[in-house]
Amino acid sequence: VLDLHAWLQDLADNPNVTADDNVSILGAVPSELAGKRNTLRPSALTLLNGVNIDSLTSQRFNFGSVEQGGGAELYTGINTIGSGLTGRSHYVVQNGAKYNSGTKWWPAGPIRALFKVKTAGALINSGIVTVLSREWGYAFSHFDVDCSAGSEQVAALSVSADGNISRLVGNYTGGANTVTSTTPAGVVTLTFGTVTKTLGNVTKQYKGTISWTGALRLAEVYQALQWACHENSTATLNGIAGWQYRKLDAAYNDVQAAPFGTLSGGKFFAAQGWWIDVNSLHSADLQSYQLISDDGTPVVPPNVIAVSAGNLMATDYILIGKDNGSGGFNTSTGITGTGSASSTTLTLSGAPAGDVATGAGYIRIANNPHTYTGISGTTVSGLSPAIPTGGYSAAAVWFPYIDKQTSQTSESSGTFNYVADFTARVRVRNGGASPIVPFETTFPVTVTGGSVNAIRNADV
Amino acid sequence: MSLTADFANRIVHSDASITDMVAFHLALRDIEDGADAIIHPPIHTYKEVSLGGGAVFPAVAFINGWTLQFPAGNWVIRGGNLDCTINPVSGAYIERTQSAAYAVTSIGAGGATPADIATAVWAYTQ
Repeated sequence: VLDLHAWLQDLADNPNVTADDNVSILGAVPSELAGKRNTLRPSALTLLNGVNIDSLTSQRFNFGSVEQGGGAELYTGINTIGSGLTGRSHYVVQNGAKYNSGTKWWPAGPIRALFKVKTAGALINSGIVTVLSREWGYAFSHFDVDCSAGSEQVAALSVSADGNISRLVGNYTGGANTVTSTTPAGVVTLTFGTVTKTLGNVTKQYKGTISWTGALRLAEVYQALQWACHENSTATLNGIAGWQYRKLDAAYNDVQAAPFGTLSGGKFFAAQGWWIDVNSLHSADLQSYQLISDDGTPVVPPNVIAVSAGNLMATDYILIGKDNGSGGFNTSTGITGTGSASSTTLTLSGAPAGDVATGAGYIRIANNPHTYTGISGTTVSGLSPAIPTGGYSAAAVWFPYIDKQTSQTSESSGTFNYVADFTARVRVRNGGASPIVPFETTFPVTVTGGSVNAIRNADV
Repeated sequence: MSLTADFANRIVHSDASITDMVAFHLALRDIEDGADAIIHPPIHTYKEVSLGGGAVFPAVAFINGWTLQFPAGNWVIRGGNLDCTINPVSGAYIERTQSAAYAVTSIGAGGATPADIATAVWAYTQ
């Protein structure tokens, strides 16, 4: 714009208008400069007395700002600075839409161009435009630029190659809150809405859920999510175009490089507010992620452990449970169970402790041993044997880790979440053809689980 | 011999005399390894004392507060040592042969006392 100002001033000192230039000494002053060296508003040019440029012409300038129409219109220059910008694609979003309908007149980054931020005397979106670099294969970056003051404003970006992107951009198609991956086949779905979920022993509120089909690995899910919000995404996310999605809640911090979360060392660090549907997880990824709840609490998946016993023989009866500290089992769970005769479902009076197996496991109801196939909330399902005649009414329940007559030389419990260290008690008895002295001891269960070997002393 | 266990009160009920201490021991072990019993502490300990020449003398001792109980009737306990508390039951007479010296005791309402037996032995040998 300094060149424009110089050119106009050069015309303004001509004695008469010439050819198609209508500016001369006979007319009004066409422009004034706030000051080339004005540190507050460098290169801020004001066009005066009806002299003006249009949007197409504004694309010919790349430095400074142009104000015209008595302050009714303003074109402000933006200059991107930062690392890794050379050759990277940039786009500008203003008021929820790509500037100039996405048609760029600027080359690959870093860019320097003027953008119309004020029209008819009113700033567009308060003069804020967002410069984004979300090129497939590169970490994303964006910067909100306040252009209301005119002059040239800086957008600081940081872009680098994303080593976690291995698929081609054409591997994905977008839909409403979905991204479909061709290879490997799977659909990632984003469900917006508040949910309250428990992970490990931590119950928190989240504002969205990421789920997927195809048992995709988290590394694949990450790429699909990056695609959902890359520059040319055709996905819509909660009603807005994916290329402008930034975060679930305005109060959250941006995760610029990856709006849904970053992937590092094979671990997915989900952006704040996102819950991951644990049922979608690949079995190898059960602990390869970390969440941040709505209130900003980091939540990690539980450490899944088991207890086991060895040196057993067929027909041994083995019981492992928590030690009560006085020579017996801790059977005080504080909850009861109710169920009808012949039913295989039991309703608990409360949720079991966090370190009870929620998959297959063992339960004692009124001291009757049963196995179950799963616990969801307060419902124990798949009881075997089924509830006996008479049913259970507020019967005492507790959850041994192993409670069976074995047919093997070793037994393991169902997996359960590690909550805290505890002492387990084991009893192994065999009164059959080769009786052993009843074996009983305690052993520690730690973050890595616990194991014990029975000592078999002939009972003579 | 039929044995049943009252786990709540830690009482072993026998409806027959106990004349084979090894069989008694094995029957108790069989009770102890069941699903109902495993949550309770063991009933007894067992030892076999060698008498030489391949002969053994079995010894059962109740532990953890377990006791033995017979119904009304006349019963004997022999074939080894049995160290346990026998619950008194009206009309139940139990003769227990005890220890390597084969001391004989009786539990219940009536029956020979140790003094009676001693007197009888002396009378017989004289």
